[in-house]
Amino acid sequence: MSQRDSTKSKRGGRRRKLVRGQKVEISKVFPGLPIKPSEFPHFYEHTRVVLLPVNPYLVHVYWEVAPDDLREIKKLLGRPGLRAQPVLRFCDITCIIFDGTNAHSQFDVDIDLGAGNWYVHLGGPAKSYCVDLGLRTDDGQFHPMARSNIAETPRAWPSGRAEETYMLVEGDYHRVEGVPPPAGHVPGPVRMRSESSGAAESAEIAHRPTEPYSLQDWRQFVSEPGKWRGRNPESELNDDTDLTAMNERSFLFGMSSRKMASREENADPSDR
Amino acid sequence: MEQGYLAIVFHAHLPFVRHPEYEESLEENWLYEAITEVYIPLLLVLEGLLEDAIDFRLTFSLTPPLVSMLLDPFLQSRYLRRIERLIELAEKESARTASQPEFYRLACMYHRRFTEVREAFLGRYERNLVQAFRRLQELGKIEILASSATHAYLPLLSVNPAAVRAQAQIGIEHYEKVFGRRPRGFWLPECGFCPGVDRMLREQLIRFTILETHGITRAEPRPRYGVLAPVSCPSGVVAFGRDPDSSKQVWSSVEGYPGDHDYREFYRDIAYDLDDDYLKPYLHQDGIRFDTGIKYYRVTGKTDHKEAYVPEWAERKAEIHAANFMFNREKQIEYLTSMMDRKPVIVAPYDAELFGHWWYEGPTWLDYLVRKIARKQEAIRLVTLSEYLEEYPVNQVAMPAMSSWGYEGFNDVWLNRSNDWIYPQLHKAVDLMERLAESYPRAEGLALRALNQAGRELVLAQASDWAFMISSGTTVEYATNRTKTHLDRLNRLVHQIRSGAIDEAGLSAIENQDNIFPFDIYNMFHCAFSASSQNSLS
Repeated sequence: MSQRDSTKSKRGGRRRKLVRGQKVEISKVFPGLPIKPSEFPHFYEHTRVVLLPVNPYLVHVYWEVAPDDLREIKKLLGRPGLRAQPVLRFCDITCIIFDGTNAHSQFDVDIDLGAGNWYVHLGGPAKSYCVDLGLRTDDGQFHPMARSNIAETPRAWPSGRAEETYMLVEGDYHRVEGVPPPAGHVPGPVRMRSESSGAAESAEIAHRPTEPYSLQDWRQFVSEPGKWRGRNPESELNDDTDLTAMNERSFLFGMSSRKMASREENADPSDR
Repeated sequence: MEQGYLAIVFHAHLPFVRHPEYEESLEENWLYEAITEVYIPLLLVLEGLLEDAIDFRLTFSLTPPLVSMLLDPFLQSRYLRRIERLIELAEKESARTASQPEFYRLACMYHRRFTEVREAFLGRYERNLVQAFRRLQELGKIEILASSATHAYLPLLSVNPAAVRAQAQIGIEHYEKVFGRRPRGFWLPECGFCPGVDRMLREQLIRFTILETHGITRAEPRPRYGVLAPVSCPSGVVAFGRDPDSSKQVWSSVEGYPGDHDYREFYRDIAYDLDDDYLKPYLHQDGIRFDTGIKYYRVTGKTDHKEAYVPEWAERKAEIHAANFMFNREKQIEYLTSMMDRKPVIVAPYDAELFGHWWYEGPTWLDYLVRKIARKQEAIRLVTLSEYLEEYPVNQVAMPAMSSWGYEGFNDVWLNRSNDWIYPQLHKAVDLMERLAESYPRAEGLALRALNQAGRELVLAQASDWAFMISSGTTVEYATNRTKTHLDRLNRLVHQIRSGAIDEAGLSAIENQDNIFPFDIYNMFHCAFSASSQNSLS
C-alpha cells in the first residue's frame, strides 16, 4: 500500500506537497504550546525495568533511569579504582513466591545502560522470571536500581500432565462448579489407536490421514466410489499418540491473512 | 443426526482510519476495498441463503474500529464517492477493451459487480452494513463476537492489567450499544492470549474465546481432546482452539485453495498496468497508484506470465473446493467420532478479508460450502460456539498457553527491533492515565470532555495494527505517525488538563477527527484502575 504523501495545514492554508520519503509532520492541532510535537514528556520519576516475553526462548527488557538515580550511578562510577558494569540480573522464580532471595537460579547479562533495551535468549520455555537492573562492581557487589514485573516464557510443547478435572458453567456464570467427568466418560487421553485391540479390529477404526485428502484422491472417490479404498492404514503413522499430539503435528504457525500478502514469495509458514 | 460440528468464524477488522482533514486519504481505501470486495459480497451470500431457506450458523467478529467506521456517515459518503468512481472506471474499461473479448467480458463483469454493490449499499442496506449483521444475529443465523476497543495486542499491554481491562470493557460497552445485547464470545486480537487475560474476560461475563491451535494443545494440564473440544480456564472462561487441518486447506500459501491457477490473480490490478493520464481521475489526487479492484488475470501458475481470468472456470473451482473441504471435514469427523465420547467441534477461524479481497472467489466458495453442508450430507452441522456450549456446558479445566496466530505463534511480530520503541511509550501512557484517574475521580464539563478524548487517544495509540505494519514493512511511516500522533495528543491533553487551560477549539478539532467511542470512556478507565488496585493479572 502506498504511503500517504500529502498534508494540509490545519488552518486551511495552502497545501504542501511532500515527496516520497519526506517525513510527514505531525498535525499541529495545538499551536503555540511549548511542547514540541515530536518529543514525549519524560516521566522518569522512578527508575523502572520491564520484562516482556517474545517467544519461548526470547525476552525483551527495557529500562528507564530517573535523573536522581543517574546522578547516583555517575557518583558510583566516578569513584577512583572502582569499575561497575550495568547488568540485568535474571532470577528464575518458576512456581515459587519470590522473596528476593529464593530464586532457583540467577545469572547476569552485561548491558550498555544507554541502550535502553536488550533482547535476551533464555534456555527455558515455561519459566517465570523477574529481572533486576543494577550495577555489578568488580568487588562482586550488586547495587540494584529497579526490579521488573514477573513474566513467563510460553510453553514450547504440550504438557505431559494428563490429569482431568471438569467444570460446569451455565448462563452468565450464575452456576459455576467443579463436576465429575460426563457420563460414559473413560478417563485417559484419547488415543489414535486402541491399545488393547488386535490388528483386525484396528483396521476397522477409521484412520486419520496425516494430510487432508487431495483433490486427486477426492476425485477418485467421486468418480469411482466402488474402488475407493481410502488411505492404506499401513502407510499411516503408527505411533500411539493422542489428539493433542495429532493437532500439534498438523499445526503451522502464522496462518492468517498476512500470509496471503507473502504468497508472491511462495513462502510457507511451516518453518517451526 | 450430526456426528460433529463445524464452527466457521470470520474475523473482520480494520484499524480506525478517518481523515476528514484531507480531501482524499489513501489509507481510508482499506475500508472502501473491504466494503466492496468482502462485507457486501459476504452479506449478499448470507441473504441469498436466507432467501433460499438454507439453514446456517456462522460466527463473525466485528471489531469496534471497523464497526465505528461502517457507521460513520462521513466515511459512508466517501465510500459512495469511491464506488461511483469505480463504476465510471469500469464503464471506461468496457469501452477500452471492446475489441478484446477476453477482457471486455471482465470489464462488464466488474461494471455489473460494482453497480450491484452500490445498489446493495444504498438500497438494501441503506448505508448501514452493521445493521445487516445485527439482523442476521437477531434471526439466530450468526453470532457476533465482541473484541477489544482498538484491537490492542493484550499480552504486551498486560504489564498494567488495567490496560487490558479497559480495552475489554470499552470494546464490550461499544458492542452492547451497537448490537443491543451483551456478547457471549470475545475475539482476542491476533488470538493473543496470556494467562490472566481470561480473568479479565470473566469479569465482563464473557463466556468464551478462541485461541490458536498451540494455545490449547499446550494448555496445562494436557487437553484430552486436543482442539476438537474446548477447555475451561480455571476462571470459567471457555477457550476453543483453531483446527489446523481446516485452516491449512484455506490458508496455506502452497497447498491452500486460494492459490489455485484458475482463481483471480491479486497482484495484477489495472492500476499498475495502464497509463497515468487514463487512470488519473481514479487514483489518489497526487497520482499515487493503488488497487482499483479491476483485475483481469488468473494465477495461472508459478510464473510472471498471467493468462486472462475466466470467471466460469473460477466458479467451477470454487464449487470443487467447497466439496473437497466438506469431504475432508466429513472424514475428519468420522475419524474423530470413532474415538471421542462427545461430538467434536472443528473451529475454523479466518480473517474476513481473505473472503473476497485476497481470495476473490472466497464468498462463492462459502456459498457452495454452506449449501452442500445443508443438503448433501448429514455428518456435519454448522454451529455457533454458544450453541456448542449449550450442548456441552461441562468442559475439561486447563489453562491455555501464551500464544497468538501471528507469524511464529507468539509475540514476535508485535515486539521486535522495528517496533519495540512503542511499548515504553504505551506503558507510560497507561500510567499517565492512571494518575489522571486518581487526580480527577469526578469530572464534568470541559474537563470531562478532555479526559474522554485523552482516553480515546490512548486506545487509538494501543492499536496492534501500528506495530504490525511497522514490523511487516507496509505503511511504516503512516503507522509510526499514527502512534506518535495519538500519544502526542494524549500528552498535550494531559498537560492542558493539569494546567487548567484546555484549548476548547483544539479539543473540538481532535474530537471531530478521532471520534471513536462517543461515550464516557474516561469512567471506564477509572473503573479499570480501581479494579486493578484490588486484583492483579497474575
